[in-house]
Amino acid sequence: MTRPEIKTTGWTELAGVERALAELRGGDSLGSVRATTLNLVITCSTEEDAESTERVLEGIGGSRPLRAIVISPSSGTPKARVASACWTGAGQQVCTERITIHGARAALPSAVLALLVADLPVFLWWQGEIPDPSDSVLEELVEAATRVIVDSDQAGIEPVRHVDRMAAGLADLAWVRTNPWREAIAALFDAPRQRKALDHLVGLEVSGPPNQAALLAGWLRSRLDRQVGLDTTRAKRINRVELLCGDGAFVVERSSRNEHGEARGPNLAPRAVGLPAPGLVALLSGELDRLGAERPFEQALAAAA
Amino acid sequence: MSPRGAPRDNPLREGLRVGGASEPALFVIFGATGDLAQRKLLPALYNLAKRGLLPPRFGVVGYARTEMTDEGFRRFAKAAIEAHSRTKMDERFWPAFASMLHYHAGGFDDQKHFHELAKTVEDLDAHIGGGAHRVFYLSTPSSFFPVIVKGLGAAKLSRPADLVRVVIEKPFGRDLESARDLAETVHRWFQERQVYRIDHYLGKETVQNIYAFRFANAIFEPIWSNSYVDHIQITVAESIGVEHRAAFYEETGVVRDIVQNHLLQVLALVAMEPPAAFEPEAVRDEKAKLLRAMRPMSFQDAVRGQYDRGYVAGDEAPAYTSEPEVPPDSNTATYIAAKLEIDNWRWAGTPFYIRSGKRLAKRVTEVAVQFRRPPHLPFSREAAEHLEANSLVLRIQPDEGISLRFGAKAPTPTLSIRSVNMDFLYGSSFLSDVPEAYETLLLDAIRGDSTLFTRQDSVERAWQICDPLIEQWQTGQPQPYASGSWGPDAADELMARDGRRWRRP
Repeated sequence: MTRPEIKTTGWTELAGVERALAELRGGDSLGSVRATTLNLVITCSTEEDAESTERVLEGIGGSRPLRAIVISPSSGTPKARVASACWTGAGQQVCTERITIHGARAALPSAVLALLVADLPVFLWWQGEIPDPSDSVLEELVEAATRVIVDSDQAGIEPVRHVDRMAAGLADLAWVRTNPWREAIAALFDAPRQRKALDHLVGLEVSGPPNQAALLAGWLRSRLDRQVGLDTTRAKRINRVELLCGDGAFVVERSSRNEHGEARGPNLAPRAVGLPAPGLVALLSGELDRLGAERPFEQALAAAA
Repeated sequence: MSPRGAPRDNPLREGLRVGGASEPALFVIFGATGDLAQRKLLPALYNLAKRGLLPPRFGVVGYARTEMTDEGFRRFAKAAIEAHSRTKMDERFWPAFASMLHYHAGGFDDQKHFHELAKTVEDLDAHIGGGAHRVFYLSTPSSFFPVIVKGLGAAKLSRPADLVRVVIEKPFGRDLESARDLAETVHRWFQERQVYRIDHYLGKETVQNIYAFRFANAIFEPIWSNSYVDHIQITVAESIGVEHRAAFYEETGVVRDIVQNHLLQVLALVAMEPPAAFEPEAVRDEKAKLLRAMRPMSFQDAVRGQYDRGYVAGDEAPAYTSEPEVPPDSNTATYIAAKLEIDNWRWAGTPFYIRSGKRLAKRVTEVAVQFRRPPHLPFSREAAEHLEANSLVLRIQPDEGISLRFGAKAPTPTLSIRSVNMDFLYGSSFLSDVPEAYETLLLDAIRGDSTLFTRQDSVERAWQICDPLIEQWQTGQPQPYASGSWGPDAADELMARDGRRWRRP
């Protein structure tokens, strides 16, 4: 795929946004068809948020024709700047639209609601910290969203629980980062002989981010419907997980140099497992392909305390 | 069916591996050094592994005559994947995939090789933790199918039926009788539910999209019948000639190569009744019912052609009879146009016109649903003289998508209605990586989902539909058509006699 062809306009009133987008498309003449599959609303409060937004929209725009609405709180009546980016690949073209809105924080949800493409799913990617649940901006945006995407590695588990109570569907990027680990752990217990060991699972030792460790513990507790202790050694990413089952221990461990590791346990030959650590673009892309709630995550979140 | 204590009973599995396979499996490729394995099977397995869709406990056993070690097979597989995979070789990922690859050298004619294979499979099964499903993929010329199936059966590799599947590539016989003979041999050792007859066309994303289009949208189904549809045209056109497959093509011709399998299967998807569930037997029952309602092809309603010299997209192309290994007096048909009729409530009186050929103007596969004209046009003759009937085109390849033709007022001072096309390009909504058909089908075989595979009753019925025409075309000569054209004039006459004409794709 080539780099996108990007067209932008200057700042405009909200009322002029649709017209500006139509002009960027070259004018909507008779018979033309625009393909859009989703709305993506992105909150952007810091420089870091702005950088991640750029990276993500550049990374996923070419595979999904979407309308991104990026909101940044400032002051005054909201104003918008619009851009379209078109990627060409294999003789086909995918275009995304981006509307960047600056304005008084309280006015931003109404600006978003006015600019959503009708009848398409709305994904809200809430970057960084999550405000108090009584925050009206959070409440209004979550209410409009089909699915909310947060990162409890940044926001913490408790605020994510609050959002979970309000949202129709919730994704936590921290939980998604544990996917390969949960895969590898589950595979250890596929055979009936090893599965019996789950009855004796008493504790979990994780070397990794405390938040992801808590989610893993919550996952095991909710799946097995029993208490499982947790002992965490803080690290930047998960490197090792050990499940203490009676006298034996099942271990999944990352090898030092690549995205693979080894899984082993009593009466089980060690085997290679993939432990990829996908970047933000891949994580977010995967979540845009899903709609609705994810029951095992919600249960794990509830049991993660 | 899964045995007790299978991975799906693992309480930690819920919510994991959406779309992937979880139960342990061993995938044995017969003919592992052949063309199909190199071009399709090994790259497909590699891409499935990269996408994280293979079971965590998984192994591949390559089986062929060539003497080779496991390491040798891994090098062979790597070269094949580098040459043919749709994604680039990921050197960081390769060691993990390579560790799944194993090799067993053996022939097909000595039972001792199959017993040795059974030992290899047993050892590997134990190595990956036991209870593995076994998929035997017959990637060999079809003449070896009976001996391989027998070898597997005699070595007790066809049991237990719940865990073992055998995948067979087309052709499934060369007529009804040979198809039945093959099935009888296979069924001696494998139950029908263990047999996965692969037609790669059915694994294409856009062919599967026909299911979604028809059965996920309420707006089309009510008009999907003889009440509103005048006729349907199905085109499977290739711009290439026989290339290096002349010897094979001389034995098959267009009816066996395309119509009996790909084309009738696509037609069945377009015309079948909605299944109660998207499950193997429900879907395959409906397809079989549709084929049973189809009349056998007759030579009065069919035209055969053979490509002559000409130009395809500016390049000079030789006549079929000038191709290497083709006899100068060959009467093999490289083109067919035919009218098919379905005797059921939904389609009686609405013909299906099919055409397929080599060295046609361009490569395209599409289904065009031509609707009836409005019963009355309240406009002047001049206003609507250029208005054509509505049509809905499902383009399968290339430029996958859907096109709807309807009438719209032209922006002129007087009322003038013109036909306009509304095009939906599949790729403009989903430019993400589209999996190869073989990835979809191999994953389904590993998971034990036979929905997209062809059942024996459909195979037999398809031969019953095609055999009369094949028989009649044993003698006589096909009509020549210029390479780069849309077929012989007689194909246009076939349509003209019904007051219709072919669409230009």
